Amino acid sequence: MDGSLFLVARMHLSDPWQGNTSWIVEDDPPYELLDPIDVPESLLDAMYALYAATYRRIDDALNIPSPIAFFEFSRWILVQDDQGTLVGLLLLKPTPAGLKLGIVAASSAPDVTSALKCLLRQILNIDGVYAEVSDRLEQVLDGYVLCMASEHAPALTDKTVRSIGDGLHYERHIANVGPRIKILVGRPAYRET
Amino acid sequence: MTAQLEFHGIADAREKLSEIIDAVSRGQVHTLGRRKQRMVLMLPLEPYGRLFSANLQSKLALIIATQLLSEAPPHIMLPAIRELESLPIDQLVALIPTPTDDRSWATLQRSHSDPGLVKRLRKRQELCRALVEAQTSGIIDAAEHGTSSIEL
Repeated sequence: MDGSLFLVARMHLSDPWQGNTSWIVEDDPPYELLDPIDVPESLLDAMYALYAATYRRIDDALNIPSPIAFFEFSRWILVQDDQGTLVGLLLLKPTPAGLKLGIVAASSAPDVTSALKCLLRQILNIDGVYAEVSDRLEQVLDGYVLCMASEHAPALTDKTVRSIGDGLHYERHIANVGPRIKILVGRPAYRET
Repeated sequence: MTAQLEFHGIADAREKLSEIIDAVSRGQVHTLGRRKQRMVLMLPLEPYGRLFSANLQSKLALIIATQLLSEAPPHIMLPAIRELESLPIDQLVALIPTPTDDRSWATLQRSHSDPGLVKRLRKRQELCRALVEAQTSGIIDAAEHGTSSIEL
């Protein structure tokens, strides 16, 4: 996995979600190699509109004030419906431990949320893909993906954490949010040090 | 410059070699040495291997891109270097010294033989600055945490 590449994959809602998604940790098609400054404004606008609609259902205060922050993540998986409308997105970034899930957004249509749930459960079972989760997303993934021991959290998050006793969850300070209980799930390629 | 670079003594480097290689491969520059004296520089091959290339365009491209986008993550930095190293030397030399403010960007835009290239470089710098600001202000961390609240 080459962390210097900016890759965008477009998938369709009607794609077979139970199919092989191991390409997510490779650098090949369906990923398309793009120069970040050549991403069309229309795509960024559509992504931001979807992000805003997703998170306004939860809270009026959006964390990301403009689509520029999406470029923190160098692997974008965009899900379109049959009309070509963007209905879901997953943004990930390569780290030393593998590909880390960053941002997810989805329309509220049942077929979209169902497809995204399925995709998330699937990719987080691929070697080298992981996520730090809590709250609703933790419930969505519960029973479908591996949980990491909290002792690995400092190395995997590069943050100071405090284990809270069950050996899996830990508390860490989230910038602009405060202390939150989190858990690492998936299959990171971590190394004992 | 070296005062800002992470230093490792031999014992420390032996113990943390794997960690150091991970850090360097992520774009950090580390130094090794004996008795607190820096003797060895560890650079990521991509993009710094260009320093040892016989190709002058590659060296100039690296210098210009690192001057303009010093804090850019690899997926923002590398496309800039690749675009620059494909240019003729005269076009690259005309980008040095690299612009530092609105006025020098405007001057370069007027004087350079490829104003489109200058515009793209400036767009890269703006993107890089916005990303650094998003990281340092905590927007990215908060947004990643926000993902856990999504209703699926």
